[in-house]
Amino acid sequence: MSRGTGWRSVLGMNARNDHIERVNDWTSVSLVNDKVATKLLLAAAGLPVPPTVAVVESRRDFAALTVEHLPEAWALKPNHGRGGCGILLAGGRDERGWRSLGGRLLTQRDVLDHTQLILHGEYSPAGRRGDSALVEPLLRASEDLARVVPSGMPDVRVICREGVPIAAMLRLPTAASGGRANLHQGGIGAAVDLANGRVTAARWRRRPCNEHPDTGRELVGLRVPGWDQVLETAAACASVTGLRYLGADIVFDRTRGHLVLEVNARPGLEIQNVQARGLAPDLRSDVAFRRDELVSV
Amino acid sequence: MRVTRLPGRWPTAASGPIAGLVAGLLGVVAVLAALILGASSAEAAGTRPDGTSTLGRKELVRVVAPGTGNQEQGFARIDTGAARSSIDTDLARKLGLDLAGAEKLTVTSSLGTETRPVVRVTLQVDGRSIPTRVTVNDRSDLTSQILIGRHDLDGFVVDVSQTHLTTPGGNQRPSALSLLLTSGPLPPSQGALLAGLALGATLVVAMRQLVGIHTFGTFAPVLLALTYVSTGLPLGLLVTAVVCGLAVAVEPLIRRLHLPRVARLAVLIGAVTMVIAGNEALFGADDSSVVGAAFPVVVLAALIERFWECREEDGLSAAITGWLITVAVAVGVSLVLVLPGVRAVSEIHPLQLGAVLTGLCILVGRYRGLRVSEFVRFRTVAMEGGS
Repeated sequence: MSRGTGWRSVLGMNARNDHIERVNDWTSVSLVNDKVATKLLLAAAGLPVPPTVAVVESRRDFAALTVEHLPEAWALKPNHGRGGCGILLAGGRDERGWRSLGGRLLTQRDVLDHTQLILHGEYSPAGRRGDSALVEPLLRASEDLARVVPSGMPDVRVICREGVPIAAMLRLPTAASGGRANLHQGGIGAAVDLANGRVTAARWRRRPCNEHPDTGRELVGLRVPGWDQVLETAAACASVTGLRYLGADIVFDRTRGHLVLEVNARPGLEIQNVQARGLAPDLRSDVAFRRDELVSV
Repeated sequence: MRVTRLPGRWPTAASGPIAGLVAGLLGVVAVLAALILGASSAEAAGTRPDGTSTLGRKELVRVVAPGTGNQEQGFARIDTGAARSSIDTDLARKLGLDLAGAEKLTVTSSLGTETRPVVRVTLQVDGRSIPTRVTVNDRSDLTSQILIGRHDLDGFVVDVSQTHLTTPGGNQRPSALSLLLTSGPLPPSQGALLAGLALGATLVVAMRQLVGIHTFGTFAPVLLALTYVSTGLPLGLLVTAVVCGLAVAVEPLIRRLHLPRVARLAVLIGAVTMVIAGNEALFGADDSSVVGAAFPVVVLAALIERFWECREEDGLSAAITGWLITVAVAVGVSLVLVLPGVRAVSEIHPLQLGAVLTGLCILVGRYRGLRVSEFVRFRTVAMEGGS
């Protein structure tokens, strides 16, 4: 296949925004910004999502945030949060409350204060009056991926166009990223071969890197577990949410297997640098043709 | 491979991304240049064939004391409704003029009759030296310390729709930078203010869509730029720096209060107001009213809030960079706003300027090609990609 080369292959912000605006329905976009609603819909379609422990809508629901009602380890998230902001993680119980993953004490008061901030819309996009808070059990990375990172949860981002995966990258937290996998916060981006789920190259802080800077583990050749399922799940996210262009974030839990953590209606462009390949040809090319190519490999 | 392109759109990356971007940038520059050049040829500035030259209603002039050679420079109100020129008492003292021994003159003005000292000075206006006698009175409540009346305006034509057309030394228009670097305020007229908003907004859109520079608070730099035009650059930047520095210093305190966002913004607005009031006490009464009236307190508070947010999400260096970019764009916009041509067009043809700028914004907004910053960000993709 003759792909566009050079600058013609690069997808810019203006072209991306234009594409998203034309293909992604407004109702679908507002759906995926609502984590609780998205999880309900995906689960109803039989897709794996993290369990929901509680949804806190107001101060009246604060009773759900007591030691008796919460599991040992949990994640407290703003329902409309973006970029992993405003997430509070507890790794285990303490006689005075819980312990954060870093070992800091989290009292009942701290948890209520944080929830209050979430309800006030502190971590939600400007323009929202308030938000609800969502509690999930803390996920732990599957063993083969946990070996590679110092801490935190690696995830795989799959970009789908018209329900067809067109690019994928594995995002790995580093000590510098503080457990978060977001690239601009210091996570590693590793290009994943769509055909077999193997890492072909990795980049950290805008430079190529072959091994994880903290653990020294080789990154190239690393296998994403259950790759066929990952691709199927990502593609199914498109039909369930109605988004014709999306980025599905999929994590690998130790006990629950792969789970859809989030669906993005406006996935970033850094994946082009990670893959050393532009996305523009994929947006222009014929859908059926790409599907054939995927199947034939 | 089939390449689908919608008709009537800007060239996509498929049809030569560099050419498209260059065309876009050139378009913006060309429209701005046409505005400025068109304005200067349309207006009747400079010396006319009969030897008269045009002054605006406010001009930079120099007052020289004849005996000592002491001189002071400042913005003067050009007032054909007054017969005699007049200067402020403080300015007369700075020039070392003898007020006690000066001849007294009874002056009748719209305010009534009063007795004022009269002193000999030389006024330097637009390259001409005018030896004259001026009255001295208390002008500290007025916007300019100097008023030039029609006795000293022989050989000039006054165009009240314009300001700042000349410099004292020569027949040359003051540059944008020199205007902004003088501490003298340049309060924009209503029309210029409106046009300034539109022009600033266009520049911000072009920076974002064509260059790829994002500022805190989309149009905050425009409001900051209008402030800098009113206060002058040194004072404006100083107040911005002091406000921002203190805001960063008190952040942990305000965080500890566990306030919701709206309450925190309100506390910030209060803090910013106090800083500006404090600045007034520090820098004297001269600038206070200007700073107090001009500074967009709410905008500054919102910028500080964005700084905190950015620091939490992306780290301190990203936040500082974002802030510097925002202030730099504001300074750039303010420089454009005081360009003599831009001021002239915005005062003479505000409607047409608004129409042109709106059209330009639509064109820039429809640009779908790569931004300048993306040619750096994705250079490896372009070099290695497609292989």
